[in-house]
Amino acid sequence: MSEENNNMQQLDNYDTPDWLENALRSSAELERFGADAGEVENMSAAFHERCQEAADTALSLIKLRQERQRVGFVPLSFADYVQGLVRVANVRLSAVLQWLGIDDLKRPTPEAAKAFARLAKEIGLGVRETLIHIRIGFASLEDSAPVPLLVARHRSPMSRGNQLEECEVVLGQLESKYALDSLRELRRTEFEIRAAFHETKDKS
Amino acid sequence: MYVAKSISDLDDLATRMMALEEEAYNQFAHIFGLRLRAFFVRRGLSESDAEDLAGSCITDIALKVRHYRHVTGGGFNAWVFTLARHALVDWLRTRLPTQELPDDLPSEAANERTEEDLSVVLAVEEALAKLPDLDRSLILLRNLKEQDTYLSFLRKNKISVGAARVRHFRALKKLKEILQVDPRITTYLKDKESLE
Repeated sequence: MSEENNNMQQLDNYDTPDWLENALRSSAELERFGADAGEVENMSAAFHERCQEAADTALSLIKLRQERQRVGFVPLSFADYVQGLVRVANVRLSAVLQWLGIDDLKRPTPEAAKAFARLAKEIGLGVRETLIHIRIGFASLEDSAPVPLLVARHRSPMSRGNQLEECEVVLGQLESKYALDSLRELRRTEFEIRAAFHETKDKS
Repeated sequence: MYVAKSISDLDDLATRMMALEEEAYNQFAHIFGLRLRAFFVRRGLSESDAEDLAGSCITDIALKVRHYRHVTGGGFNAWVFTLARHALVDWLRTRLPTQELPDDLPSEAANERTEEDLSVVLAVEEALAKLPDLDRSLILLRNLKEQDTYLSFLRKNKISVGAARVRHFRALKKLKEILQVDPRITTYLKDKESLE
């Protein structure tokens, strides 16, 4: 009898590797996941609406990304650039901002940097372009002359410089005249945006 | 609303989403909202947390749809499921730092390998399909660790607990033999070993 118990225990302790345990569990869950299709009619109206809104947000972001690919870089503030894309793509911005938790697109703060970085990434902006758009926005809040004009003025007729580099030169000149507090806030925001980009890059 | 259900219907849905068809996004929300919520509730989330996470998954997964490639046997449903599992792991990591995490929580690195994860699950599914129905059910039910379902299954099929243990042992052994020669599994295990 005790030998039989022993054998039973051996069977129970049969070594199933972790990866197989996980895959078996996933397999069983996947089977159930597909089977839930039969209950679609049970979805509450509120949850249904929420899901539709969530899908609509994704579609809006994808359309913005597509427009952004067509348009490329334009020396505008982050808010003007995104709002411009929104008009061209004919999508609703409010749901996107709500999803990201952005209250004011015109005022990127260090606290909101993560959300701004996420929006920038989702519409296909790189970190360098994003920072330029943010810095242009800051310049407009500092009451400086419009950056696109300054960039055009800076460009000599012979120069065929890179537009991003030209913007960075002009912004550097403007920022050297900012009050220390403003400059500090801008640099903190830039730092947070860079960090958020790196964080999501590591995850993707 | 027409609801796509088969693998080919759902693959067609993914293609329409890639083509930015608005109605396809509505259907995606309609079909997967409920599946996601039910999955998260089964994994222990409250109704309200499950709805929150399902909503955020709808956006996140729809945003990634351009990366979807059909995997034979799995399809769009399996791909969405894999991403949902990863979202759940992330959610548990960030929201419940002091709670005990489930045993099958993948490592952070594994979390990023959606396609690899999926191919392992599909290989296991195919191997399970090669076993007799009874063996397959025994493995899945025991593995899910839902004691009530397992015992009622044994009663229904008139199998004693002892006999079920022996049969489960043999079925698992057979499953391992099938998987050991599956190139998806050998590659996965080789990669896993090199990471460790």
